[in-house]
Amino acid sequence: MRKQKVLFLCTQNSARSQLAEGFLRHLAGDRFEVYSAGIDPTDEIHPCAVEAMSEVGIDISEQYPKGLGTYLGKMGFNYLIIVCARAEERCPKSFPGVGTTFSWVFEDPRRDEEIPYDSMLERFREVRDEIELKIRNWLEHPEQELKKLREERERERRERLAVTRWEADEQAQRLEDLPEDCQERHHFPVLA
Amino acid sequence: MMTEKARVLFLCTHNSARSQMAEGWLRHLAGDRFEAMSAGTEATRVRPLAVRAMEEIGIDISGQESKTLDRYLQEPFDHVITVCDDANETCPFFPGAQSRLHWSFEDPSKAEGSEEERLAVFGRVRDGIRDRVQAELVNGGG
Repeated sequence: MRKQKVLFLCTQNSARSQLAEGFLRHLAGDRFEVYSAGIDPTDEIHPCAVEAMSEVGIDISEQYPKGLGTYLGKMGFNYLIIVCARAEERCPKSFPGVGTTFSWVFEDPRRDEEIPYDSMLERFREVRDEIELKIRNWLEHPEQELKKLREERERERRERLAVTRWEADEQAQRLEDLPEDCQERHHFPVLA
Repeated sequence: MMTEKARVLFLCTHNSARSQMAEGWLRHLAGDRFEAMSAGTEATRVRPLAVRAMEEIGIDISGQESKTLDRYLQEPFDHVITVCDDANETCPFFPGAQSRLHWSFEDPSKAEGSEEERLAVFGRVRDGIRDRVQAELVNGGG
């Protein structure tokens, strides 16, 4: 069977997306071909990422940060998984060559840089465990993740519709309020 | 919640590539809310490069077949969507269609070059179809 391709994406491709890449390959490398990239990659993977993963027996020391252009548009992916909020904000909504996009947003372990190495490592352990849990859940219940995605889309769609209706109501009200002989009344677009 | 799925029929001349990919995308993106079908003014076969382009991103359309549109003429549809310019011109009137749309996409089967180059064209059309399906059907008002 052909392996499914997965691309994890975050801003710098130095921490969360690297942890995710390491876990998915470790847990299901027989079924998935795993990649990671960043919108704005750093020069090196964060040392705490390598250390936190080696604590759970996974070696990611050979992994390195890469830009989005390394893969995107050059090959097809079954899944694009965005793992940080900034990447989600800065990313285009539509990617070439992607079948399904998930947003799994994890908190940035480097949210403030000026902390001692050990405290930083502790944060990496936390996010490492969250990522592992998320990936294990997905592997065990892939349909749940798709269902969530569909529900999320449907919710967004309804919100957009509600806004459109509200705007239409506002406009209709404005039209009502115009005097009978007002020019604009006759030029007002007909509302659906 | 919607009680019945919206029925969508994608049409192109040969029902071999664009309409097949559109059918695959709609089912993949929102098969819970839409019933996706496709047909052509002539039936041929699903192009292997269309199957491959969809397979690259994890959507299996190898089980879909190329069909003529006669069988659908009398059926009710929420949307009948032509995805090639020929079909838009030559397609018959669908009395049961609530809306008739035309989405124009380049014909990937006209691509020239190596197999990989042609596959890349299919991939580009595939992505364009996804964006349209996503924006106008999946995210749409209906």
